[in-house]
Amino acid sequence: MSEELILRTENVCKSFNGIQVLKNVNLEIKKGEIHALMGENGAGKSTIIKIITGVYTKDDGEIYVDGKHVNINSRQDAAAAGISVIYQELSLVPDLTVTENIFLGHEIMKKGLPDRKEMRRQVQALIDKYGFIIQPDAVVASMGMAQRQMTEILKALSTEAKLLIMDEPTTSLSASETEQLFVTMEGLRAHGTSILYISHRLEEIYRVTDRLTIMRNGEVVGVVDSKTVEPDTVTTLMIGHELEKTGARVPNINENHYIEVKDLSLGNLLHDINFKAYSGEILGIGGLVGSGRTELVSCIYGAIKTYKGSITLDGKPVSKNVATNIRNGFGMVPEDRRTQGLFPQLSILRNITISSYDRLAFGGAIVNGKAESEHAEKAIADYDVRPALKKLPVQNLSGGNQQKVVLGRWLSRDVDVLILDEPTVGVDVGVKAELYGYMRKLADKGAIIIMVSSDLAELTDVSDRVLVLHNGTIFQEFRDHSATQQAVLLASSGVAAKEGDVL
Amino acid sequence: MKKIVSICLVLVLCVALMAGCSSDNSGNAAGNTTAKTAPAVDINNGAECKMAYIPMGAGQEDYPVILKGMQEAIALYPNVSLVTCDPGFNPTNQIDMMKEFINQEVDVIFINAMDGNALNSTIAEAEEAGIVVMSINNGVEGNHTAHIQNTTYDAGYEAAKFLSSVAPAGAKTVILDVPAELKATCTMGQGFVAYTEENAGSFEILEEYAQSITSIEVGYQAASEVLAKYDDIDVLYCVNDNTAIGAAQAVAAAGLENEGIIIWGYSGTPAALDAIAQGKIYGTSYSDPFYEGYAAMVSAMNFVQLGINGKSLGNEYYANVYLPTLNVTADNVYDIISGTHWDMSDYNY
Amino acid sequence: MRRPYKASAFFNVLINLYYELNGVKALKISQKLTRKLITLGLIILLSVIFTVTAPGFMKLRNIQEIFRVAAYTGIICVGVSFVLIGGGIDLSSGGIICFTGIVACRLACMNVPMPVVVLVALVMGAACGFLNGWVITRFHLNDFITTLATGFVFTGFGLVALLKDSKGAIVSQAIKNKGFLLLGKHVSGFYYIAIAWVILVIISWFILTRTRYGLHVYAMGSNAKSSEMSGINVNRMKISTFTICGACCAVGAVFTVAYQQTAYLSLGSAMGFNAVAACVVGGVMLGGGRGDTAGAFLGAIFMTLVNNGMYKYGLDTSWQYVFQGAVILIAIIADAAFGVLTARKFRNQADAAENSENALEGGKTE
Repeated sequence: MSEELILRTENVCKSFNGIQVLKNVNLEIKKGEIHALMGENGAGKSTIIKIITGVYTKDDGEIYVDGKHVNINSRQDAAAAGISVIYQELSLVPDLTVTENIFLGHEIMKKGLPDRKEMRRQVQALIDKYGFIIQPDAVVASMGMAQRQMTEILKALSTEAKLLIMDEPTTSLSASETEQLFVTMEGLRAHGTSILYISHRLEEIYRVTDRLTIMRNGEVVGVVDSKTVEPDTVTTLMIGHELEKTGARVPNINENHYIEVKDLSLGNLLHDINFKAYSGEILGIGGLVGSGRTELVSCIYGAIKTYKGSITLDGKPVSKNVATNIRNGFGMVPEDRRTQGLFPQLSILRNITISSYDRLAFGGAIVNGKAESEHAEKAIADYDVRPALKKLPVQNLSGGNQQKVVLGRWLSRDVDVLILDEPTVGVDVGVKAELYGYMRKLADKGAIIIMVSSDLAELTDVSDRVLVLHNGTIFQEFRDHSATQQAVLLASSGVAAKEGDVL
Repeated sequence: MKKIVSICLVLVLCVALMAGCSSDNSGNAAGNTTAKTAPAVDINNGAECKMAYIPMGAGQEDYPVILKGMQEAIALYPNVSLVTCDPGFNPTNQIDMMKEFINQEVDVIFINAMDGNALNSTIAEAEEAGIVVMSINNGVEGNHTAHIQNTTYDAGYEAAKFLSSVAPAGAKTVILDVPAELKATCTMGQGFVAYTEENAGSFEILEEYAQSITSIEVGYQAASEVLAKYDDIDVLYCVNDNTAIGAAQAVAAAGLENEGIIIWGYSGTPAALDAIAQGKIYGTSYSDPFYEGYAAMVSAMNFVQLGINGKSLGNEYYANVYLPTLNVTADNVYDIISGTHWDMSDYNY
Repeated sequence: MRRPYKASAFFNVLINLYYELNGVKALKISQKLTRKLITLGLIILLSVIFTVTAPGFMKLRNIQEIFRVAAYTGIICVGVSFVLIGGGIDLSSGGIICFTGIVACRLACMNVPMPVVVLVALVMGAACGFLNGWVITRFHLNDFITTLATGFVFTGFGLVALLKDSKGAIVSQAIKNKGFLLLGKHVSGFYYIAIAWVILVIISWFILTRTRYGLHVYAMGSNAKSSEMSGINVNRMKISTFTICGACCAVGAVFTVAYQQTAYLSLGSAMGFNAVAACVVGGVMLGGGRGDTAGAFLGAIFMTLVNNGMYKYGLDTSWQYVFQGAVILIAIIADAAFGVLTARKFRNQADAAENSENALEGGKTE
């Protein structure tokens, strides 16, 4: 392995609206290495990548490719410098063949017509060189995810990419497909192509990468050899100093009012889940994206009906009909508020009241304009939605205020069971604290709260009890505020830590 | 509240419009049912006269030729104006346009009706208002001033009579007929059948094939179908020239050009005249729409000059004018081509 | 390549001017009303142009005629706006009009009493709409192509239902049933169809904005997934909007048949697209969630005005379609420009409010 650097960034800085998200980032990737990049959500991983690939422009600092200083101001600049991204949402046209996809947009022309023979020959040559297992004439729609990724990689290689960036490439792959991808990556490494690999999964980092850069709060906090580093070291670097827990809440648990999930299975997403969520506590559910968290809570809410096993509320089965559940006091703040929670063109008022017309309409049919206004105004005031203009279409609000509206929809009708899926994504710090306050208040009133989150601080600080899912099963349970960010992180990756394991 | 404001605005607009009209005494209330007699308009001494022609649609094949005939007839009368429109083959549009012309207080409305009944009440309204309503080619059930068309029944009858002299006795015949809903007005097929029934042994009619529409494509399909179905077809009697041209293509495609199959059309469009000259179809029942337009216009001007219309005559007088058709074959086609008012400029004659 | 924005620069200027002139007040006028003012403005503009240039335009009789013709499109628009607001699209309205109109004509010719004819037509229209909705939700089909197909099916039913003679030729029937023909008449110049239209617009406006059902239609059109998560039975709602649309088509068909005193196969042809176009001109958003039947009301008037103007000028027939299409296009471009601009205004308004409150708050806490 040559010691030359394929990519070096020097003191790259970037701010958005006066908030510095990257501070003097120095990233070094050697020729022919698989380099991992890790960090919590918001650590600045995606920002630095977007700067390298020309999506954002840096405020300050330099980028060197192959030792030469380059200016990257657009995606084209990045591609010209030999940097290529393998996108998570694959950018292939499903109805075309591998060859057609690879040369899409820069076909080799002969007498004004695409020269299929030559293109096919070149693709075959690439396939032979790297030992991929795909056919140049296969139609993309007929291939598995791993082979599609190979096609993406080939597409990048055909433009003579020297550095491939892979962002969580394994989320949509099965175990065997993942292994195939790793073999492919090793093949690329052997031919001197560098790969910048971004993943949350520790086991993958160990399995395939050479070195590991860890980021936290917009800074590089460590570069380690990923073959020898201890998992604890990695997580400590990622999380930093574990914060003192500020005023851990003593939940007032009512054991007679609970939701019980028994032997719940859903296809190959969830297996034999058993737990109880009690009134008065906030139950956190952790785990990686794809571990089955969202599916689990959707089953409880009734949005997924095809599960096996039983879900009961105080011993009585929970309906598989969302409307019935809402009538019985259920509420859910879904994972992606834009596509599942909000009505973008409708006013703040309607977004708050939409699920409450059983009480805001005469005979449940004709809208009581006064009651509706009062209800919405109270919610807007109680949950501090800004601007407090009830007629404003909700699509014009900031993320945090949109989330307050979705939360307000349920809180304003005094829900009994509230399910929150990633409640604070895209919400700024100040509003986060507010939202936690509302959740705690609701729990104190005796509601059952189940919160799914990827935010480790949120899981460990806000929830009274944490369940960590791994590959569709409950991997570990942390009772009585015993969860630490590190332990949850390890459990999410399938590495067991002793319960209550402290730093 | 704002809703109410917006509704009020609309209401204000409507009221303003109404108020604007209230001073307009010439406007008739739509419900005016008292019969008026048509005022005599002295066209010959330069009185203004406004006429309107409503075809089925701008795509109606003989529309420009009919229009040409009408314009020719009023060429010497600068005081007579003629407007036209495009209802796009939709009876609803024809009604709306007729209403419009009633509002414009025209003196004459010519119409190629899409539907025999849909226009009844509107035509009655026009006649009430003293307008001379003349239907062209397609009949309407309601009372109006006059109707002009080329014969259809007689054309079929005459074609059969002519063909019985050239086709073998008992010639196997298929009639490629109009779509079912037009059979009531386009009766050439029935004329052909009538001759056959009167003269036993002249033709053997294998099928009366009802096409969805009359076009070259549909004619081709229909003819291909019947050619595959029956052996030794002698005569393909088509109720439309486009059908005949399609049928000729089907015969050629089936490799039967030299079998002497007689294809006969109706109306004598430029394409059909050309096909006859080329020997692709045998003949057609020719008529020149120009004369229809001319005749309609001349009689309309007479009605206006006299100040009478169907209504003023007590709905008892209802003129039906049938213009004869001419059997055209390769023998006389060049005479016709040189004299026709159809636009032959696409063909080299 | 940002030409589309340049194309709307003209409207940008106009609307900005409007905001400038009205200052803060303009921002407080609801988006819905502002949108209607645009259509209303276009209507007034056209009316003024026609009044000045086409002498017959301002005649009472012509205005009554415009309302009669607009009512036909307008009644269909009421139904279509339910579907559009709910996030769907219905192109089968022409087919439903044809089918129900022909059946109503046949029944009326058999001297069936008027209320029975109307009831049967309504039930059949609703059934056609229900079928649309059911097929779409049951087989998870695309609304556009499904209703295009069912439109043909319904027209075919119409053909089947037409009276034919022994040889299979269609017989055009004139309705003589006095009771039924009453529907095509008018009281002192106000045609019953126009009265029915206004009543329908008011009822539907009430349903859409003041009932739980209506709000759920908006919610479904704005975001179907969110609606599901909020406990709205999206499938049932969708079927219901199509059923309402079918019933409205039947209403339009019955009045039109009574006025024309007969029914024929091309009844309602092109109405599927025309009604959708009128709704869009009136500010009902394709894709759902925005607009109301009051807007569709204005849209129908606008479209009729354009047609009426065409007749007035006796424009060369070949240019009529070009002109009509261009006018509709202008209306839609104005709509799009309006959408972009109001979104920007709201955004600024939201930002301004948020920042000023933040500043205040900051002052307090620090």
